[in-house]
Amino acid sequence: MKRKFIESFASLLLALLIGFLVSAIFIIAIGVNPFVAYRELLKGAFWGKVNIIITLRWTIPYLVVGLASAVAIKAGVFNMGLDGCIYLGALSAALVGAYITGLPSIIHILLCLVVSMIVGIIWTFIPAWLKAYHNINEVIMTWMLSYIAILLCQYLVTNYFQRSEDIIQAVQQVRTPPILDSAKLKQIVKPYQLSSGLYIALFAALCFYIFYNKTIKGYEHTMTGLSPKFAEYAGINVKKIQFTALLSSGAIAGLAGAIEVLGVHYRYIHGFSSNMGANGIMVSLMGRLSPIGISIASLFMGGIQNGARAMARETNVSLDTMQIFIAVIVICITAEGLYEILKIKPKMREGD
Amino acid sequence: MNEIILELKQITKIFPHSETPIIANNKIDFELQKGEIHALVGENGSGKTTLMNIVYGLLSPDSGQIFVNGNIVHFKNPRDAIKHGIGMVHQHFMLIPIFTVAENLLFGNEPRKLILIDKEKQKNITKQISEKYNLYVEPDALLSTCPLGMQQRVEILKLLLYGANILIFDEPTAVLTIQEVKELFGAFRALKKEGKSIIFITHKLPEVMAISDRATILRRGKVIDTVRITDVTIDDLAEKMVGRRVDLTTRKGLALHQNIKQRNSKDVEPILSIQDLSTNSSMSCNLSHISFSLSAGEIIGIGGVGGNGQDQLIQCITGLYKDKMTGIIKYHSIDISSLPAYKIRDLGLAYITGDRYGRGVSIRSTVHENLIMGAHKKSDYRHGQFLNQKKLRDLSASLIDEYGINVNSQFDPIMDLSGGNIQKCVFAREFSQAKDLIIAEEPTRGIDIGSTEFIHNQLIEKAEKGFAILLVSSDLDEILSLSTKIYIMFRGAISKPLSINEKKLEEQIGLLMAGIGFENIREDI
Repeated sequence: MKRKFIESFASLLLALLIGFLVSAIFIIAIGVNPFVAYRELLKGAFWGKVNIIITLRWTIPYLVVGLASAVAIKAGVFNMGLDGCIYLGALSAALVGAYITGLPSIIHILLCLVVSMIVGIIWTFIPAWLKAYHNINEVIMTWMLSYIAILLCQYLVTNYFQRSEDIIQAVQQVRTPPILDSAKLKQIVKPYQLSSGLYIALFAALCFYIFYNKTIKGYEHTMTGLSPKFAEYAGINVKKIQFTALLSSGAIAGLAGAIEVLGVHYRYIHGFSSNMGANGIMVSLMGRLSPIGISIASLFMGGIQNGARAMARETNVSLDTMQIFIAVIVICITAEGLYEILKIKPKMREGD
Repeated sequence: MNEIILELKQITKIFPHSETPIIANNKIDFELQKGEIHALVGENGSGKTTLMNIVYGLLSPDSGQIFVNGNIVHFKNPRDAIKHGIGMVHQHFMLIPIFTVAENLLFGNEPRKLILIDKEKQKNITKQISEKYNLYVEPDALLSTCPLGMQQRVEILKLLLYGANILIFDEPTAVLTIQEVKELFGAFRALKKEGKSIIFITHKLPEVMAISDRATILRRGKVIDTVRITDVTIDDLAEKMVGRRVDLTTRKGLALHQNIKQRNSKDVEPILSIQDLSTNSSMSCNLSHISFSLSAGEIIGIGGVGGNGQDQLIQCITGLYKDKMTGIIKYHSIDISSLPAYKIRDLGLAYITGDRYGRGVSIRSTVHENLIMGAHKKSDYRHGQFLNQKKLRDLSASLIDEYGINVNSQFDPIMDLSGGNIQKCVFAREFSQAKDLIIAEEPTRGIDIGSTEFIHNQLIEKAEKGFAILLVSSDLDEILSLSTKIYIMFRGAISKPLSINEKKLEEQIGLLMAGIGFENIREDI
């Protein structure tokens, strides 16, 4: 076990190194010294109180979305529709937060979170049901439904919830009215955007750990993901597991949207999720589907997002370069996963 | 004195493993004469495949020499070996499924017409060489549609085209039906007549006796003996291979059969009964009106050439069948024909699958995770919704102990285990959870003799304790050795029952396997 851990850690470092090297080529091409650029990146991500706080602020959504993605992958299914659920969860939380009045703060917050999760479940219900009970590919379905969800949010907000003063104010944002104070998550360090959503995210990671390591259903989810044929043969209701895994994934993604609204924006603003769903999938892969791994990967991803802004400020390197960096790392990591699959084959031949 | 074409002297190969280095080949001497069929026999892990990979240039020896036609050679890769006339047919074919037979055969050496491939010539060359060696292939057939026997012949022809004089076969019969094995042996004899030499890696002793001239026996990386086949019996070979006397041919089912006869006066209810089971699928062999029943203490053996509906029958019983089916399958008095697999499992059915790596284990998990599957749901091993981890650890430790699974720690990945040990894990898990019915599908395929004997004894022991066992196997010896009653399947139909003490049993089975004596054979497949 220990050897396996060291191996996977080493391969991760290698992936990082390759990522740094490949992006260095692009940075040099722009005419910037990559060492200077990377120094600014790391400084912007992890140097000083303010930078760390902002990195943590970005860590929250990546951690929660990463968990949402991991819950599906653990059971051997993919939820590519995380973005759709994030938007729907955010919108429903914003509406509950803005229009339901007279509740004590804690109940109001809980209500927002629960509603956002239910909306995530409802939206994932159709692809989950078709996947589990009719064997229709869930990747395409969740992905396409995600676009529908995002546009649906835009439509609903512009037609029913947009206040005229928001348009006049030249903000030109598609957005809902602000939520009430009772629905806001407290800031941990004023006046920064880091909210107590951090505790919710960490609690979710803890639940994830307990579920997969201690419970009967968690064991069944893991085994289904590793080998659905084995799980079916050995007496596990594979269809139900895949169904619930996709629904849970949708619910957690909805929760991520709600935390963004209640903790950062205090209203639904269309376009608030800058690629959160896709980055969340990368976080779950980087973190190897383990709660600790996902926590570290989300911290890393948050740091990159935050540090890249500093790098763009200080040097000539644009934000997009960091997308290359992240893409290369993810390719290295998934390619390494391929290698792991390939390793099984020769073993089986020996055993024959 | 025959001419010696290949000679190995003091070959040693050590795999430096993490803690204990494995000596795969320990000072091996080996001689191959021109025009002989030489069997290389040994259990799994005895080093036979390693040795042949050295001869074929896939591995290089740590010490020792190889002589071809009396000249010392050093192979860096298989291409060197092929240059010296050595070719190897692997267990898993190295062919391209979307090419035709002729395209596969001449892949890399295509005859050309300017820049295009000369398809006519390609076909002609294929036909010529196929006729020359009497190895029938269909030049235009797409490889993926060919039966495995033909794919193997393509591999052989490919080597002959390269000019191979020494042909190495790694477990060539593992993937073939009985008929195809016969054809392969016919091809062996034809090649021998042409003056080719054959090395035949196997652990199936009846095949060694049937075809080879000499046999070299390896055990734990060492040569135990090289013998002329005419000088030894099959039991001698088995003893040399395993290192002790083993008994795989006694009809153990006979004694069981006597027991059941004495008991039958009490008129027991069958544990499993199948009435008029048929399937309707467009994809595979369909079952046609199958009925039989299985009572406590019985071992019913279902034989026949693989692919005659055995898979479908088992899938129907275990709830894994996905297409339409009709008929009644009863476990005690419960009709399980429409229940999903997990519900049937919860009733207490144990199933040792023939698809060991795909279904039998989760290959990317640990031994522990594989052993506790199924038990994890039972009330003894849970606290409410949580796993009782201590009890589960104790459970897998005791199973490893009881079934002699060779493993350092229960948390080792299961893919580090040998085939025999993996199968023991499957057995341990299934036996420990069985209530009164066990379905064993190809339980010893690809497993060494020592483990086979162990598994056979376990099955007999369970039957003596009153379990009902359904044994499905394409290994006729296994069926004959264990069953109390035998059925043969052919094109989805099932034969009349044959009792183990019937006269001329083998003869009747032979006819049934060829499809003679069936009533319900369907014509639409």
